[in-house]
Amino acid sequence: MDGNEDSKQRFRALYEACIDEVYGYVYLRTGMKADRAEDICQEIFLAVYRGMNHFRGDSSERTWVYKIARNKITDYYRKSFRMSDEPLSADDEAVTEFEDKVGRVEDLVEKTYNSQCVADCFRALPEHYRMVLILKYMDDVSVKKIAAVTGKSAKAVESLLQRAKASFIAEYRRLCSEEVG
Amino acid sequence: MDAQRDSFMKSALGTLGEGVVPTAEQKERIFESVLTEARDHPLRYRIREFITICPWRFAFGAAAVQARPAYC
Repeated sequence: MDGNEDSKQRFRALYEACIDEVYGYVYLRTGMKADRAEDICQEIFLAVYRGMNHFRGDSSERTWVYKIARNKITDYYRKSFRMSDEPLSADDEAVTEFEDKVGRVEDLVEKTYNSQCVADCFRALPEHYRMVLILKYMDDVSVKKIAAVTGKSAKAVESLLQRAKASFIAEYRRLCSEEVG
Repeated sequence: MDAQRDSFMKSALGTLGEGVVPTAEQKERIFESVLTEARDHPLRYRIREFITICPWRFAFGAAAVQARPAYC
């Protein structure tokens, strides 16, 4: 077996071990769009394939693959925010207006969540809203770090988060009212 | 109220991660694309890698080419 075939086999084993988790990770963070997730997974595993021979073994291969995936997703966020048209103002009036529309959430908190419904509400949001919500509530990234990734001020990110949250809750009320009711 | 909303968001979004896996066709497609891309553009990749890993060598090389005497 030559070296090329050997690295292909090694790559195949690593790919099989990681693709499901990596795809799930990417899919959620790229707006739940299958074709986009596929493209980014391709970029991630291409970097894995090319870097495999330089991998020094400082961590497990799985951790290394995840690190590459995280970096690619951060690049994706940067690019997406750069292209986003939304003015990220820290306009308090706009936030207050949203807050008034959403009201209290006690009635929602007690319920069991229907994941399909949550996914539909999530898909209905603008892309930059989805991104900040994922960063904040799934990845536990601080506002300061989100600001660094997006190139915005912390106050602007805070305001964007409030709007994103309010939009999601309003959408949840609208689409999932039967579950909530 | 903010804490309650945060808790709602965390719980709701937590359900999104459940059971998203690629289909067998998607897995095969991604795998094949990676191998094709790696095979078709090795030179472009090597040049980019060289510039990324040793930017000074690239810069000195480019400067040397630019600064060569006219009679060469």
